[in-house]
Amino acid sequence: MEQLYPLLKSVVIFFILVLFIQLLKRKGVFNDSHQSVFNRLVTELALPVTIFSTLAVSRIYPDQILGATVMVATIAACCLLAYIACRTMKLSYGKTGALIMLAGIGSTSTMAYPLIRQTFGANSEALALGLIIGEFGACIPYFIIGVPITAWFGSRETKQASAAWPVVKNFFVSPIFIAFILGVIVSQIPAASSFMSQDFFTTFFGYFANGLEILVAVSLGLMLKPIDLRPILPLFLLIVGIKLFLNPVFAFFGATTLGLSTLATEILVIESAMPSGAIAAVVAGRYGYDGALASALVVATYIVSLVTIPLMIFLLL
Amino acid sequence: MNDVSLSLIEYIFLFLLVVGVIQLLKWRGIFDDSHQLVFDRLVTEFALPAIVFGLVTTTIFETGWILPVLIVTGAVIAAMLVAWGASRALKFSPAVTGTVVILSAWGSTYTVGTPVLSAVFGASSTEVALGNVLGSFGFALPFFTVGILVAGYFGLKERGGKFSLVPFLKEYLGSPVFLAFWLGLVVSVLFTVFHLPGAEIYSDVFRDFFVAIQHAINLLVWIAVGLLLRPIHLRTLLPPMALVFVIHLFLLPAIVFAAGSAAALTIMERNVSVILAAMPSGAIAGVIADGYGCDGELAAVILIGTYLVSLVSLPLIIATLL
Repeated sequence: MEQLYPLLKSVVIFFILVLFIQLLKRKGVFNDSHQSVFNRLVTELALPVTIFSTLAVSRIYPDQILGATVMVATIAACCLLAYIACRTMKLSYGKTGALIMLAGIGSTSTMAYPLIRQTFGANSEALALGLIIGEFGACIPYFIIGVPITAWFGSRETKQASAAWPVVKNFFVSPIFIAFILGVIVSQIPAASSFMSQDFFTTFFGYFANGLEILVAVSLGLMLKPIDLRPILPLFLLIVGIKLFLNPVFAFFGATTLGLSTLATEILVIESAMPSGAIAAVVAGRYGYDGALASALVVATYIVSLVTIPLMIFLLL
Repeated sequence: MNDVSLSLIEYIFLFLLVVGVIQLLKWRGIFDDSHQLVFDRLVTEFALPAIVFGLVTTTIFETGWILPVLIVTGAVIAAMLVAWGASRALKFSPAVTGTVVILSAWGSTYTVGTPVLSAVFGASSTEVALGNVLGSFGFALPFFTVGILVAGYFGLKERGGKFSLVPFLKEYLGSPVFLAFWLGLVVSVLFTVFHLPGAEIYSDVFRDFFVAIQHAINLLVWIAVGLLLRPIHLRTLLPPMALVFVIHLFLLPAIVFAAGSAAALTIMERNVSVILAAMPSGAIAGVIADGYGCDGELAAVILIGTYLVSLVSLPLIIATLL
């Protein structure tokens, strides 16, 4: 329990920040229109810089790739479970496509990375591991496999062909992906990697890394809003059950079965315990699903995760 | 090149780099002018109150520090009065006057002061410890109380509002920064004087909460300055800029030096006080000036100007002192 204390403390601090922003929003200091500013700042500036700076001075080990494999398998299992549940409940193709992605894809980049950074430090082995597992295990598979699946369900729903390529292309030219690739390349060139380890770059990247957590907290604080759960209660319970409970449990058992290190197991559980990714709701809306439903479910998982993340960390680690 | 110059150059280069990135993002359409307000609010209503609260509750004050704190506070007020008088003589608008007064009086003691003192005396030196106390109580707390009051006053005058003391003070006393200051003071007294249970939990969890915000303040303030920055006519810029250069970079350290010598401060106390007084104008002060209705665009350009001039003036002052 003692070694988990820093992690639980980070979770508590992060959520206090989020609640503080909610308070300011209620007081009228911020409003919904400000959310896009912080989203952009996170995804186009602070997060890419943090990803690059962490990977550029790191090494890639087999344990990290194995961790990413567990992540892919965990997400696939959750998506399959969600599919079976949706077919059993005789949901439409549109809802099925959206729920499958919400059950599998978590807020790895926006919430897990800052949390891992806050707990283990900016240039820690844990953050490098988290980035490799998150990008290779969740983000890249989602954009290569998840988005085309979403598009397929969308085309069944709307009876029209849906082009997945623009969304996939957007990811591969996004600052986050470019920073990831550049970071991996630099890490493999010893001269470049040691150049990036200089004090000047550490200080420079440190400013962004320090700001990232606050920017994400602001973004989440602005996103949370009261929602009426009654009309979507069965779907809400389904997503919460799979994403917030089964996903970290699967990740934990996958990691222990393969004999991954304690750190890799912790990172897998943390990343798997994250609420549904907002990107899944955005993509769902783009393919003609019920975007409002998907967004409401994402917000609901964020609210519930205030309790489930510490709980799952406490129970599993 | 000495350690001070290197430390300053690195900081200023990083500052300009972030400001440049923000300008680039603004040019690409990711940010626009309307976002300025959001960052002003994030700094003034979220980050600064948290920092004030954190400062008040975590800094332990010793009676021996009262004199140096009083001297720098007095010098800051003197610099404000000189800046105000000169601005009136030059017939600046209230918004420009507010900006000049704020930037003349308060420097980057919080963000630049510690790295510079560390470069001169060593990170774990007594000078750095004293610098932190002076920065908190001599510069930061007067700024978060008197400075914000002054910025609010000139902002109100610029908007053409009729100044009425009671509603003005009422608004000020309800501001997040002021509430954070008093709340912090109450919490500090409860924990240190009355030994209220829960002090350990507070220092363990909440201190980290405020540290997380303190770590982010540089980036938030630089983003705000980056959004504020835009071209200004040289004719409009030069008089207020020259005034801030003279008062803040030369007169303020001179007043602190003279008062410190007259009050027989130890050489160490006097040197630390003068070095902190010689810091370039505060980026936080610029954002506050904009947030409270003074001339933010002017503040951004003057800030960069004082940063560049301090590359020469600060090493010069330190070389004279040591």
